[in-house]
Amino acid sequence: MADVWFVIVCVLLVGYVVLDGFDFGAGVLHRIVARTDAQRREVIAAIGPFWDGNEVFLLAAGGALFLAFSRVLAVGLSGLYLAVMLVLWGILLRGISLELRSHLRDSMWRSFWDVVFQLASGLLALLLGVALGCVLRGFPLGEDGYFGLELFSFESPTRGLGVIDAYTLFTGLFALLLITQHGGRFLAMRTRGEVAARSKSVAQRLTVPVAIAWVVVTGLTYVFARPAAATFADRPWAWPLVPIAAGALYLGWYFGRSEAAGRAFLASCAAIVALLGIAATSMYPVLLRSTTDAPALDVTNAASPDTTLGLGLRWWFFAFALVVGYFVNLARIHRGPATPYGEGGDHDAEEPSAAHHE
Amino acid sequence: MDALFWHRLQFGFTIAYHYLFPQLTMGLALLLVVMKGISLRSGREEDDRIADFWIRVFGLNFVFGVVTGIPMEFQFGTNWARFSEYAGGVIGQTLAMEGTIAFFLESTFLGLLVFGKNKLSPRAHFASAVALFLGSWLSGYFIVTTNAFMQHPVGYAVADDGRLVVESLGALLTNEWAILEYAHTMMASVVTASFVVSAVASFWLLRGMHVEVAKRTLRTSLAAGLVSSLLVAFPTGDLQAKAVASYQPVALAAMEGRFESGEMAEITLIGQPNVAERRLDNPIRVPGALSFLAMGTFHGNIRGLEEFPEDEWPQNIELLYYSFHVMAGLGTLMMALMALSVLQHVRGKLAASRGLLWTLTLAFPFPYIATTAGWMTAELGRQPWLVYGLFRTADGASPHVHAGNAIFSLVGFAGLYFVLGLLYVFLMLREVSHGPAAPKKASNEVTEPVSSGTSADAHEEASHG
Repeated sequence: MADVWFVIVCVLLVGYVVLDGFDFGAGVLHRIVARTDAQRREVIAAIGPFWDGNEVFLLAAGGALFLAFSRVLAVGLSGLYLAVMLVLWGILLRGISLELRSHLRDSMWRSFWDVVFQLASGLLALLLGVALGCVLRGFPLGEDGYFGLELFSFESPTRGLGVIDAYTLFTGLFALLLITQHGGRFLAMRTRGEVAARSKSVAQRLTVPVAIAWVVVTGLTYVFARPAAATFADRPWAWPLVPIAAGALYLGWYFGRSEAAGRAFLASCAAIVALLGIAATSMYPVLLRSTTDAPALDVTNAASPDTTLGLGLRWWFFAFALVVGYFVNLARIHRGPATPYGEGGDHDAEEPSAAHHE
Repeated sequence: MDALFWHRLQFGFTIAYHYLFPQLTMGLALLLVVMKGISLRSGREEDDRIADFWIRVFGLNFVFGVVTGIPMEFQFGTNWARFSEYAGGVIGQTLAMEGTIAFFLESTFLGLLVFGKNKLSPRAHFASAVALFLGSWLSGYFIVTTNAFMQHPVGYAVADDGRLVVESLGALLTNEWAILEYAHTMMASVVTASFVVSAVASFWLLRGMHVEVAKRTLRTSLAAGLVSSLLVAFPTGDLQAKAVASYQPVALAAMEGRFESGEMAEITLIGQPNVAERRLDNPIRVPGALSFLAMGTFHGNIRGLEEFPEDEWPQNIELLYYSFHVMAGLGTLMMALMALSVLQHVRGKLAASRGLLWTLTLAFPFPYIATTAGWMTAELGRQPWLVYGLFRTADGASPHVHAGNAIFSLVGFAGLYFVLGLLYVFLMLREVSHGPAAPKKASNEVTEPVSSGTSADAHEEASHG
């Protein structure tokens, strides 16, 4: 039963990175690919209908973790206290900048929120990668089963004394590059004209840096997160994920070159899923790896009792079906390039002031 | 100060701030159903414009509610790790349900309501208002059941390792406390929405703006305000107090500042609790009223604080006492104000009573203060327990998050929320001063302006034109 919940948590987290990843990436690229206000409204319109639904995946993942592995949630979130606070503030600022930007037609107002949006998006993309690096390496669990990490550390990354250090900074940069590319692929699909062209060109040009960063991070993982790397190496059945991820990155580039923006975006999604699949394989059955003598938290010792897990499963599948239905419907309604509100077509631009129009 | 104090202050501050927004959106969701229903029946275009205006206000408040709500779920893990580890098996269920089911309903149908006006038939648009109402009230239910479990734990079992597990999801979701707390809370949110809507409409009347729209709005909001402010007290508040009397008698004693037990217990209208000397200074009291309200008879024995060991007393008796009295006092005041306004409205004299309109305009903070005080009454009354009778607050905080970290994040939240507050006030005032959209001209209905205009552009032009 706990294994089922491990899979559920992984699915929700991967779903979160794939979905919110594209709007983080779009946020990073926002001021780069869109130069005029009309163009920036195109970018906002492209992610407008999706971003808050995407964020629900984070809440749902948090909820699933709370229900099934409450110790992991408690130990992990409290140990990473300051980093989690930064993430929360980033999410808050990002949501506010997206929603408030359209409320005033004033160039200072809008450029202020554009900058906030870009910085918050970049910070979140970076911190997602940092968090993954931390999880792969493990935490210095104390005798009470808890730990407390400083926000950053200049000491040897093997010891893992800081949330951000020489190792996790690289995993963070890798995530930032990958997510930026992902956002570019999304914008190439959902916008038109100059914005689409610039987004495509950024995504194409990021292919080589992403590949290099992947190789570097893999190497660093073998040095600084040995147990995770060893676990993956012990599971030959999961090795195909590596060529799949590489192939998907290549396909993204290939489709991007031949103007098939939708397929390029799907390839980018597949690449992220495969890469996170590699990470999940290097973890299972452990949820919180320990770098000390204290035992790690895994699906057996951290899971809630079977009664709780069973009860949760019953309603969870129903709820998840709702969520999937919602997303399929949303994606169907908003297929193809978005049109900023006021130019006819779909009305997904400037919530909530769109109602002003009537 | 130790870390525990800062953890409590941060959670209290962030949740009180967060709740400023949902209490308006939940109440407004019900009023929107009424407004859309009226507009569907009457077919009058000003009724339609009223609903549109408040949908816009709903949207703005929803955004602030969402962004300030996300930190709440995470603070269980960051600041209250021991508690999460202990009770996660139970409260994780209701919180996960809130995140997965209710939030989705709400965001889907808000989208339909805001963007669907031109695509949906009036009936379907009305139906999306109903769905938005259901979604936001369902959301509230899951949060209230979570809190109700902390106030009055039911449906749980203790596992071998001492942690809590759900034994019956049905019992957890139909917790008696949850139902009472929910009814009381939701009625209070309708009071908030009624006061805000009435304040805005009165303001328009005082300024001679949108007069027809304002009068029609007041008809709805005053009726809703009178009914909800009565229901907040009777029966919901009354039943809630009886539940406190039977399940948390020590909290009731502290709320009333009663140190001694006895029959014919009085209700204190005004007075200052003097905890050191265990008495109430300068009291003005109504004899027997407390016994009657809590037990149904004047001879009911209300136990005073003296009967309970001091380590089970709520730690902050003074604040608890004042919270309760502020809530009850403002509740009474709001009931009276709504009754008077409805009376004047029925007599057709409201639009001319500038004094009353001024009072209605200025009274909108009262329900916010009352709900915050009410929530403080519930949570301070729960102390020293985090899960009543089972788990103490002092044992719930995260072990490795020291005071320095907690103060750092508290200061961060304070700064961020201050800026958010300024933005919110600015944008709300702007909405209110613009008011509902101008009446549609015949030509406008055929051709929508297609130019470069965004919605905001159209808004600007309309307001300056």
